[in-house]
Amino acid sequence: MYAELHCHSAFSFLDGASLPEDLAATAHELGYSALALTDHNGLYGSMTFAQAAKPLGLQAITGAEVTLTDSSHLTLLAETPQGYANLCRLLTETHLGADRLDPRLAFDSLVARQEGLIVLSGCRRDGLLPRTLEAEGRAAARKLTERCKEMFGKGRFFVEIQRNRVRGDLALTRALMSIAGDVQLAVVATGEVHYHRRERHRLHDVQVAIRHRTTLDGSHRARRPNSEFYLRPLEEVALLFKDCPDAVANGLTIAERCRAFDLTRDLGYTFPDFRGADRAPAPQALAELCRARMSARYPEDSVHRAAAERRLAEELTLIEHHRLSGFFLVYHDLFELAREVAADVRRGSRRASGNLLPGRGRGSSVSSIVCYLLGLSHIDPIANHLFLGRFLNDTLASVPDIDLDFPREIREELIRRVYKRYGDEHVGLVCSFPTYRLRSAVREIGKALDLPLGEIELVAKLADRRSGGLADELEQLPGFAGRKDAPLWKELCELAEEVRGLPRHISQHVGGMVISSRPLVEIVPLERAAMEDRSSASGTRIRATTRASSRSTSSPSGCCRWWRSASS
Amino acid sequence: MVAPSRAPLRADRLRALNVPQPVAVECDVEDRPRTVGDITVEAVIESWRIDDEWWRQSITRCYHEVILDGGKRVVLFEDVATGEWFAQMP
Repeated sequence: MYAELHCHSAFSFLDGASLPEDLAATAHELGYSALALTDHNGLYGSMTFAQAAKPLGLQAITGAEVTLTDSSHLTLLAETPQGYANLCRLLTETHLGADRLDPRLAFDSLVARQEGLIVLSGCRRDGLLPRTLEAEGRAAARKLTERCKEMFGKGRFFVEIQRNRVRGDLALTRALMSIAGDVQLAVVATGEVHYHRRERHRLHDVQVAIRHRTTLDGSHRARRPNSEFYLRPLEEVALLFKDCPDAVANGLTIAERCRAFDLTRDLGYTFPDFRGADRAPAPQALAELCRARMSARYPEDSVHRAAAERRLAEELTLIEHHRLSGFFLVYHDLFELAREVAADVRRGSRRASGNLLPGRGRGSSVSSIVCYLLGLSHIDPIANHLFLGRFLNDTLASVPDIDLDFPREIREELIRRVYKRYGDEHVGLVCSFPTYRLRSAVREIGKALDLPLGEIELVAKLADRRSGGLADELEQLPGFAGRKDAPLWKELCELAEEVRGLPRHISQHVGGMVISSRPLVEIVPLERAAMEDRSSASGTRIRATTRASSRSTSSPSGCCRWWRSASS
Repeated sequence: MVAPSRAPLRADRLRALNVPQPVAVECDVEDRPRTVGDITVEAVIESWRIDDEWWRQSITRCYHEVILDGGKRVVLFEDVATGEWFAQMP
């Protein structure tokens, strides 16, 4: 048995050539009991990974490889829910406390927030301990190890040893084992995985070249020397570490300890427990709000009044049953906020006197009388005989989907006011991950392969993915027939297919926001958004960095859609 | 002495150093060299692998640094594509 505790996915952005789902599936096929996803400075793929691993019976360990201020790396694993919260806070600090494109974490910060975390000493090339050993010698490495033992404790700091058939591995791992023995610390075997199967090493080489903005030839020193950074069959792992079986056993022990935290179960997100003006419980506040508006919408003499009363009672019962009163009240609050913003923004303009709505609901929520009474929808569900079941029913599997569209003119200010109203720690813009498409793949991989720039541009511009793949596209492009089998072009065709769908970088979702009752920073790592000029006066604009839904939304309702997918 | 920078490069005067020499190698069950020609391998010090230049002419080699009977230290490698073995000085 073996548990892999050091693994990068494509969410390490240009330092991982496999999706989390592929890593989980391969680990399961190979018989791994557990796999930790430890992407660089983020948990971007962790939820996807955990959700993919769960039905397979594979234990998904949540972790990250953080970059310290001296640019060395440490591997962190969440052992408990508190450890996960600390990991999120540390990753947030890594991003907010440093240059946006060069996240760094202070060692002291890690020491201060180590509870519930297991710390591994880092990878062969940039790991804190191997790097010290190489740069400053054995005495300094031993001193550092003693310091780490003192800071983190014997049961929480492990010396990481990796064997990927790289020249020098044996000497390095023996030196590390010797230091660990001297200091009485345990060693743990890890694989520094960067792709799920060996064949993907070509794509990883290309990613390294792209990351260093050079060609494959020009990135010789930066690329890894071989194709051994894949998920190995268990017997290979046993053979590699046959002289130190304890290192493999310790990995299993660590994995067992990490069972105390399951991201799919313990995320801890709850909808804001919104209360009424005089601190009335949410169900009561919601009912009062709806009933207060009933007469305006359905006067006593209305033919729909009785049906509306019945429908409201039914909906309120369902909402209370699903504990969604706070959820609806937050929407109402946002809508009222939007109304204020619209009034402020439109003041003095011709639109000010138009009595325009600040936004408008759409989708299945228009069948709800609660949404109608709260102003979230402008469609009368009773008069129009709209069926409620699609929006709200007894056996609801996830939260109802309320879509609100806000006009462009108020959106910026509305985002600022949402931050101000709920607080920086409780609100975040949702991130998104642009993935490789044919054009971007051709351009970037073509440059890495050192193909003529003019030809790359031509192919990138003309290829529009109407056919099965780049090879087919090339056949149809004038002047490129037969190129698909030519050297370098053949590799371009194959790699463009492999890279398709892999995330390229992190971006900001067009309109999604997350609002949380618990500080968001304990649920998900936050990052500084790219556009500083959009920051609110209250402080730093932040960005939630767990994988977001790829669906576009232009309203705060996106947060709920996102959280539903993240926490389900 | 360093040659003047303007002097033309004489490709015919260049020669490769430490050129790999083909050798016959027998391996054990773990695919580690057991004999090199008629000489027994005393110890395998380290094994490593190289995968490079796959976009040009792929180089895939499994290296072993060994000590032969008599104490000589040699680096052996197997060209994975052809299965041929070569020896180089370490």
